[in-house]
Amino acid sequence: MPKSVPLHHERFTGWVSRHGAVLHKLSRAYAPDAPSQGELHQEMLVQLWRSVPQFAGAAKESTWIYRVALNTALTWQRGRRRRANHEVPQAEPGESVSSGSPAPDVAHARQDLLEHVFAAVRALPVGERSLVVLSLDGLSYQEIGDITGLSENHVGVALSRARTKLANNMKGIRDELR
Amino acid sequence: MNYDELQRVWAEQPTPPPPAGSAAETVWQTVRDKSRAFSRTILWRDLREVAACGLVMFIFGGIAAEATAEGAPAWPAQLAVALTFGVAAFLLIDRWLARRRFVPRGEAVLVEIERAADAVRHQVWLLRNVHWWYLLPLGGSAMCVALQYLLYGAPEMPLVVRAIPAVVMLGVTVAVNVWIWRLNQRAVKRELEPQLADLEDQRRAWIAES
Repeated sequence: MPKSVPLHHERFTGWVSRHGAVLHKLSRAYAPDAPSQGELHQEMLVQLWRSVPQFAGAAKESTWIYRVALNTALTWQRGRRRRANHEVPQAEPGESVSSGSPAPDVAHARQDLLEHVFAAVRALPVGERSLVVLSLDGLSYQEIGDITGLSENHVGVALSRARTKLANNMKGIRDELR
Repeated sequence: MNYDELQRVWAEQPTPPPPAGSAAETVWQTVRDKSRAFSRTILWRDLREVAACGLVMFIFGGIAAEATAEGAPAWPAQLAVALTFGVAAFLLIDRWLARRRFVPRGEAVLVEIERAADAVRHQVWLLRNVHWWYLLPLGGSAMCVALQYLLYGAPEMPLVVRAIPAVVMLGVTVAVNVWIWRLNQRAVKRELEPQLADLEDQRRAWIAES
């Protein structure tokens, strides 16, 4: 085994333990159902593993992970669209943002709300979806710009529009999003 | 619900904890295996193509050596070897450059989309021009070998008889080349052009949405 493999492994497992939640959230935002979310999550792990030797520390660790994960999600989605023979790009199959029946307890209500949020996020166009996910994760405009390659101004304007669309997507489910 | 509340709900969503113990080892092993399988697939694809060129060079080189041993000029067969070597070298260099595109480099999304589009554009260019860098040199090398036999092979046979294999080889070469050319142009139209359009749409959408 080459000497660098333990370092490679150590860095990778460190990334996953610190930022694993990012991969799960992005998988859910880009893949419509549990099996495809699992498939995308694993693809993100593989790409993250392959990216380890390229990481030179020029970008922040979290920026790097968001970039690799987001690029993997976009590539995966393009491939999926091709496989599905030009599926309509912005609406995942079986996806609905209509309100469901009220959940019986708080945990279910929260889960139910999250499902609606993810469905509303997945109904956004690809670019806006990415911006909303990064924004919901609490990233600043500058960090989002670093990840996407857009300027801070671009991010601000696009995010404002995306939030309005998200609010529209969630109308009828919850109070209007402002 | 306002955006801050939504952010809080988002932040508090339960996500599976990182795998630990033997489960972690299984996950990491799968990741490593998939990564290696990908590298192996690329390596074998390249090796197959280069091995095919190597085999053709070996055969044509043998013909050249045989002609030289018999005291006959061997320039057509030598030219055939050189042309095949050129194709193999072009393939190897192109694959080596393209391999770097497969490695995730943690680029910003827009840069990555552009890089992917460049890779597809290059692929389109390769397939559209397959006749220049692949079909003509390989077809030319086959014709050089035919020429070797026609001009310098078995002088006791009449030229008309020696011309028969050359004509057959010419026919087969033309037919195979036309078939390969059509396959490549179809791949461009059916697979690569839609991929490129998709990437360009995505890039435009990212900028337009912004």
